[in-house]
Amino acid sequence: MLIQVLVSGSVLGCVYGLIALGYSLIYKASGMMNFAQGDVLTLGAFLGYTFFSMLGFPFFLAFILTLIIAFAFGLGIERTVFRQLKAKNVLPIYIVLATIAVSYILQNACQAIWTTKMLSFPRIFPIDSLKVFGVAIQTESIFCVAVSILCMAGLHFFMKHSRFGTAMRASAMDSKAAQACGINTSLATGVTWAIAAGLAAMAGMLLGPIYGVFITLGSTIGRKGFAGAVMGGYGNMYGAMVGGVLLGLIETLTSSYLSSTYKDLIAYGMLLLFLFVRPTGIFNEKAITE
Amino acid sequence: MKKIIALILSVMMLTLAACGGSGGGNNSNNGGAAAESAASNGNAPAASDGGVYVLGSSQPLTGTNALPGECALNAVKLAVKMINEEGGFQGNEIKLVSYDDQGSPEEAVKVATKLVEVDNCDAIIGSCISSCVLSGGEMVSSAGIPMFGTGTSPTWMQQGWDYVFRACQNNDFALPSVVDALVELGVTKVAIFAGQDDAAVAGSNTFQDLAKAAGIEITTAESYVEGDTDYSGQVAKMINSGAEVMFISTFGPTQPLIAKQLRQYGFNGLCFTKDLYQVDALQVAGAASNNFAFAYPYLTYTDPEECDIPVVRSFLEAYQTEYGELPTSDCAYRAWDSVMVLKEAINLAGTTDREAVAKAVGQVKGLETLAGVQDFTLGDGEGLHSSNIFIIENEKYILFDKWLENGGWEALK
Repeated sequence: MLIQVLVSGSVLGCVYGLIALGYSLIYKASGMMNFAQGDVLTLGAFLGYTFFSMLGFPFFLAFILTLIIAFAFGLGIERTVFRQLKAKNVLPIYIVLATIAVSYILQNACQAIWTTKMLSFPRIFPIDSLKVFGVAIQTESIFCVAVSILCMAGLHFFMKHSRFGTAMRASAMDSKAAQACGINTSLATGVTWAIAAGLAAMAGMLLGPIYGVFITLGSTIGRKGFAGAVMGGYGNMYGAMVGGVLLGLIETLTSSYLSSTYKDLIAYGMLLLFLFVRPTGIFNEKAITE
Repeated sequence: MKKIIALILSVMMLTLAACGGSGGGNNSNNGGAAAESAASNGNAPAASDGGVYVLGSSQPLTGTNALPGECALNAVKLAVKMINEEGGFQGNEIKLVSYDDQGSPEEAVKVATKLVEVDNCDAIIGSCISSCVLSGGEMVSSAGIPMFGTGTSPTWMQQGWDYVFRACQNNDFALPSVVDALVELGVTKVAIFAGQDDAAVAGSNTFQDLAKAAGIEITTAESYVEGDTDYSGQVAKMINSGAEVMFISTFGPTQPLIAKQLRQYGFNGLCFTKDLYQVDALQVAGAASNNFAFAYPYLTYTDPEECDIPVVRSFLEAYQTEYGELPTSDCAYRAWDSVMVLKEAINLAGTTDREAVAKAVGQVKGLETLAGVQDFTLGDGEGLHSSNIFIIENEKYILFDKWLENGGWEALK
């Protein structure tokens, strides 16, 4: 049983980690929090279903189209909501509240477009499941883990070692100084939000075959992704993944060996513990300032 | 100072976000009224005195349970339309007033307040979420407004409310037949997976009591939080507890998720759900749905041709004509039957007076509905007291007895 729990907890944690990457990316590059990530995941799942199942496109094409639309959505939200509020010099909390509003709008929009039915997302792979340490894991779950790890590594290198990634970090650190250095901060911020939306939509498309597609698919996963990002070190790409996996393991171990009723209590209790004891997270990311 | 203002604004915005949402049906407002009201409108004149019969509806139209709620509301709208075409209730045209209770007991209280104090309803078709019926029932019954709840938990019919009735399944009446079936099969160990809402908890508790009385061991009872999609921890515990059969007490949308995860982690045995295993769950979970059984008065279908019960088929065809698709949730049947029983009661009473109608409900007997024959003369406010057991085989519903005859249980063992 322990192996089954560890394997399934790790898989779950990688899903949280993928969402956490989006949170950390936005914070790292724009200094903001976006609580619509979970519902962008839902949007990605619905878009993926539409292209792959309803329109019958090949999975890879459906995947790319979903990412493009999510990318455009992220860019659009940054331009129409985040940038407008920032131009008014509002307090950061107002921008956070605006993202919460976007979250509700997105959820209801998905309901209006795709209705309230739970939709069956077809399998991506012909093989139903694979054995990992003797535990049967759905093939799409393993694919999700692989994609999460690739995204984590890719984003880390992008942010640390690419010119544009450095520009994004510079824009977050000091927008005016970055502009003085010739960095297009507007573009940098927009691309950040777009990539984060793309990550969430990607997660949605990968989760669709596992959980089905319904309007509240991303709600809880979004919250837990945020918790994972904080535990790992808010703004750190590796921290996002590690924090997500840690949260997934805590949840499954708790529900297996302690009580499923209090699973969330213990998991979020750990989050509070981190905030009190080590607010910079496992990777000591100094995102928490005055 | 700025931080204090920001904090206050944050709380206000979060409160508004939690309270917001669109109302359904004919009314664009949702339950934004005060949450509590001590007013009683027991002596208020019926709204139908003016030639209009106001029928209220409270269903979850947003959130996790929006699908069942929407199906229920559609069925009520269809029933209202058809009855109005026949002349309404005692010559009074039915006006439907509908609100979204969001599946939340807190919101349901606000909705009940509006239906009672603002809309002054003549009758109400209550929520398919039992927690919502439970939270709003006191106010509605105190106001002397007949209400037909469409949830399946036994709890809200145990409150002694004179004006609250049920024309759909009470899980307490169905679960004894499930336990009897398990005893006949020689099952001695069962694990439970239940939600934390009222109906799920009540179903789980009732099942546990019945099972223990019958000598069946409950190896473990696991739960989940609404909104969660991964149950791997709970499934691991259930499988490793040595259970022969699983009892699943959850809302419809959770069914395919737990079905897939049980099968994925190696449990291919018999599972019983506390109520209908929905047709959309069957479509999502596919082959993982096989060997899921349930005691329920009706089934959902993907095609009216599949249905061999004339009254149900007639309803399905009418629903499909009106909405272009079949109901995917049995909440549509529950709501439809509720309106039909209300109609019968009004006919028996010969008036739309609320008190007379409520008394007349207790005289309804032999009324054929989608769930079967309704009989309210037992005095418990319930119209149904038994149901069939079905099981899914090769992704199709069949009668449990037929599955046994075909050697299904032997093959599974």
